[in-house]
Amino acid sequence: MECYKANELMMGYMDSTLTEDQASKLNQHLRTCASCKEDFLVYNNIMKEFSKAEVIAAPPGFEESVMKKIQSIEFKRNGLFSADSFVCVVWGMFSVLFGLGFILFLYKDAVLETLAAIPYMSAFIATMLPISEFVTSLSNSILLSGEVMLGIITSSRYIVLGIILCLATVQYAMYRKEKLNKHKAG
Amino acid sequence: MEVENLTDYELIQKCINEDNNYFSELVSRYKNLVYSIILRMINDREEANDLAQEVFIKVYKNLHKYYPDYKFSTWIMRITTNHVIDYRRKKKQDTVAIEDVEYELKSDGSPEETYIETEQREALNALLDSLPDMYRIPILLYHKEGLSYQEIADVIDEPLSKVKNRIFRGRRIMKDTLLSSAN
Repeated sequence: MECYKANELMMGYMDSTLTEDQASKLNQHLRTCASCKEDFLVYNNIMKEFSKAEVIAAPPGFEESVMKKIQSIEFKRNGLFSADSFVCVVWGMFSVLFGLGFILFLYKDAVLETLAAIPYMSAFIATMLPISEFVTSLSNSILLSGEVMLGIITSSRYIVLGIILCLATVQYAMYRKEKLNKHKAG
Repeated sequence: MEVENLTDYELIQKCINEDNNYFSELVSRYKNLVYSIILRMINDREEANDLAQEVFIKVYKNLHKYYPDYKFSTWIMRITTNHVIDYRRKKKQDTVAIEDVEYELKSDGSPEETYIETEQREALNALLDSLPDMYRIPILLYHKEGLSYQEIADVIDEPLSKVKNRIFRGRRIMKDTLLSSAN
């Protein structure tokens, strides 16, 4: 028998899958091949050590520690100041303020006029007028640049469409990959 | 029905839908398995304890992702080995000093025999620790945790043939190292 074949049989020996016939063939080979015999003795020693593998137990109080951590996670998750609800509160406040600001911006002239009619407020409103004009001119320039942008976009809308399609494809591919990874991990 | 009589999957369902205290039973069923795999991979009791707790918290957070296609033990072992690999990658700690390894040997032999046994075991464990993870983990799971080739293939998510090859190759590396150190 060739040495490589004997080596395969040794693997079978370590897995306890050798038939009687295979075992006797291996024995025969070991009697005549010193190098394989040496290998076999080393393997045998390794197996002896492995078979003595001690039973390892988790330290006492393990469940309690894990459950305590889990309860604190649950508390954070359900509590008022959990990460999720904090993000919601910030986002909500931002939306309300942005909305209010936008409405004020749209009706700023009407609001300023009404306020200027009040005697006590007129002096204060007078200081506000230049700011209002500045905001109007700023918004006009933004609108102008917006129109320019719109012109560029419409003139090259096929390119834009192509880019959007590419981005969507990449996004979908990434989503699929992540899903696969998650499936693998879990 | 007694908690002890519920299957793993029933416990998971109860844990998700009713009361997370059912998780405690899952922890007691698998704590020794998880802890022993980790301890054999990193050889530090305190760190193994921390990592094992982290594994169970990860398991808890991902319970809804478990499908009974695999045994729960396979799933939990997969999370365990991946967690330790990630941890080691972060720590870039590949081998462990032999002095740090603790042993609980119970032997009826004479002090000399015990000493030789301990020496041998230490040498072998150090050798196992020095193997790359791709050989070490299958060997650990096969020879120390008593898993079958198929179970290991499920845990590390590789084909059966690859698992077999890695175990064979890992054994050969160990044998060659022992022989070259003896000569």
